Amino acid sequence: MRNAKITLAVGLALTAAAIAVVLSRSPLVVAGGNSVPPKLDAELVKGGVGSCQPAARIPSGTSAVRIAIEARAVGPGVSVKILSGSRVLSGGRQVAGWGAAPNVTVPIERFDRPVTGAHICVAIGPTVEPFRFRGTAAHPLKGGVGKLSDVTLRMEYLRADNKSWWSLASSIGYHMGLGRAAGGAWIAFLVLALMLAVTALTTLLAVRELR
Amino acid sequence: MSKRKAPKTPPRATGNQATGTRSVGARAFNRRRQTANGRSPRAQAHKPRGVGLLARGREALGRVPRAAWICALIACLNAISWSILTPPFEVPDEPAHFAYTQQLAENTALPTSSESDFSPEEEAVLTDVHQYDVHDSPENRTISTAAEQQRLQEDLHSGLSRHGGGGASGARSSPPLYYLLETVPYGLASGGTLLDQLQAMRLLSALMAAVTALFVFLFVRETLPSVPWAWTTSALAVALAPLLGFMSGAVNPDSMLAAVSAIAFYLLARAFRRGLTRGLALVIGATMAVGFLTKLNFIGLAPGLFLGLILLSVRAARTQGRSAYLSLGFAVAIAAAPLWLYIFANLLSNHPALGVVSDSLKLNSAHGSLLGKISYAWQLYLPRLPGMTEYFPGVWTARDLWFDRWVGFYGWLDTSFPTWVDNLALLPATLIALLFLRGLLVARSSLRGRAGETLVYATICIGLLALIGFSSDLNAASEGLGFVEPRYLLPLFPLLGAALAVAARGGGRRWGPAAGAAIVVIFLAHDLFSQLLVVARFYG
Repeated sequence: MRNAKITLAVGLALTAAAIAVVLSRSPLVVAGGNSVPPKLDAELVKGGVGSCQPAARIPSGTSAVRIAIEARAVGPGVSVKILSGSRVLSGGRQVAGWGAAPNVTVPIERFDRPVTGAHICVAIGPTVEPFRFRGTAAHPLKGGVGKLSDVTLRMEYLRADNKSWWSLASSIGYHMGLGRAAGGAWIAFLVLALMLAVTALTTLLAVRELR
Repeated sequence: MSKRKAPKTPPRATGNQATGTRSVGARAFNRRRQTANGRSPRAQAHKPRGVGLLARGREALGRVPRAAWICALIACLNAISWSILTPPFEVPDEPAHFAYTQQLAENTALPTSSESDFSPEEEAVLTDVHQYDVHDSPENRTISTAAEQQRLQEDLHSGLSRHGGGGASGARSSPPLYYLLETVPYGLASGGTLLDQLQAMRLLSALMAAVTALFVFLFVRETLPSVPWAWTTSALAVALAPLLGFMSGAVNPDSMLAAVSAIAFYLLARAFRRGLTRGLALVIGATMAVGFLTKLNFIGLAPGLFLGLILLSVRAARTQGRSAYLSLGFAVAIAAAPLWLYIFANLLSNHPALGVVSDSLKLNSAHGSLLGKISYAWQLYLPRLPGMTEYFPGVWTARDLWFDRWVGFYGWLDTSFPTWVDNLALLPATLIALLFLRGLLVARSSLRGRAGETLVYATICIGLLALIGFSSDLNAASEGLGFVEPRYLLPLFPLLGAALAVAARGGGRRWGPAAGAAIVVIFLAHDLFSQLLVVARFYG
């Protein structure tokens, strides 16, 4: 009984602390990009391909790259390397299995300062199903797009916003009140109250029964 | 004389007749049940015989422990929370499921096509809430300005037609029972706007989450009767599972399928423990019929359920004679009745025997060898064996698809946690798996005596997994790997509950309840962070 109570107390305290830490962090926002318009929209059936292209200016604080590679239901593994000459400045990987989305976001090691003149190399692992990608022609094309390197991919650089989730709470509350049956920011408080009730009931029941 | 030491903990409350108090919860329930079972035959014989069905139902409900009701309440509240925070139509296929219900309610007819020609009212709302821009595009948010809200309100109150062209998109081939039930909240809220109706319909799904949690509790109580605290552990974990909350906070027949499956599991477990009576056989048959009328995926559970009925009948025949097989016949006839009626109606109207279901099963265009299909289904869950054609290059299906998507896969399958969260989740999952193995090891002797029951549950599990695998294979060309969604595993939640109970028990007599508490907290934390993820995705 005592062990269960202690476990519950520690677990709940850890959960609350983790929530506080997460909410004190900031959402990722677009800090810049390579300004490549999505003029070409092509599809490749097989993965195991890669290409390198100029990275444009990578803003300071960038910690993820959003690339215009689209999965139907199961995205392939995508690796990114950012190079200055032959020196790897940063890199990261998104494992296979990401869901239906028009872009893949690959987390990379954070840049403390802006970088110019670098190249970014994208490697796509084996694929279960065809994937699409968007950008502009990297060189004059004879016929259609045949390989990934035919296209300069559209990319955006993401970094943490300077506002924490806590400071965005009121705007999120307002946003939650829109587009639903009963509107108003009170919706956010209702969800909060429901989850507090769920937590309280769970705790009380666990304390009573787990012995 | 030395004074006796005062106990460290106050004495536990018991059912005290003198003070008029009555203890509650699973443990107290167990004690009362044991007392009741120990009553003399004379007392049993003097029970009033002409008890009505209603009274018996009330009595049965009264025997359900309060802990089970609280687990059900928690599941319901959790699903309501999900129903509120998930924006309208931002759950897989919700527009189609709503359209199906609207078609039934407004035109009193089943959907007539697989087109997405929804009613003008639904189309307007889908446009106004930016559903087409938001779904599948995690960087897009729902409506965020007063002007957009104003336009939505104007359309909602402009009296647009609720009669569509009869299309229900991919939901067309679904059986009608869930949608028929949803016409009740749809009708009750018909004085309001479409979004009021949608919310009312979502609340009915939330009630089904409560039914799921309740019957998971009862199922685990039947399968592990000697460990009352494990019943609560499993039902609480299921009640808090974000996948159940997410799907039961939406208009989707998966919520009802989970509930019906939980009932079926409970009835089977009850029959294995207490014997198959004629009444119980009929109820199992009726539950299966309801399952078939809820969602086609129930077909995957059917082989295991039929096997269970056969094994139980063979066992019952030892005491009841041939009448046990008569019960089996009745149960099978009731279970299969919807199917026979459907085939009969289709043949009478010169349609293919399986009607629109033939299309979704793609019976006419089925290709490839059976071995190839088995190989595909195998690799959908397990590593490829030597000699098998590779169907999933670059993907570790168990990890990358099923586990990671179990950890978080919300919205239109476009909202998931960062990879590091999936990696972190492996730690508690591995610990729970190890505890489960230890629990199995400890209970191996009692398992041997329940080989038949275990075989039935395994058959149900394999049947559903195989159905998902074959469906995925058949529809690979048109839908890719769209069938790889953990929500299709919701009918197996009672087995998840039982596995968690065994895992908690694996902690041993001393640490078992603490392991149970840890499991509950893990599921609660998972649920809370999942809800935060969805809030960040749609409103951040």
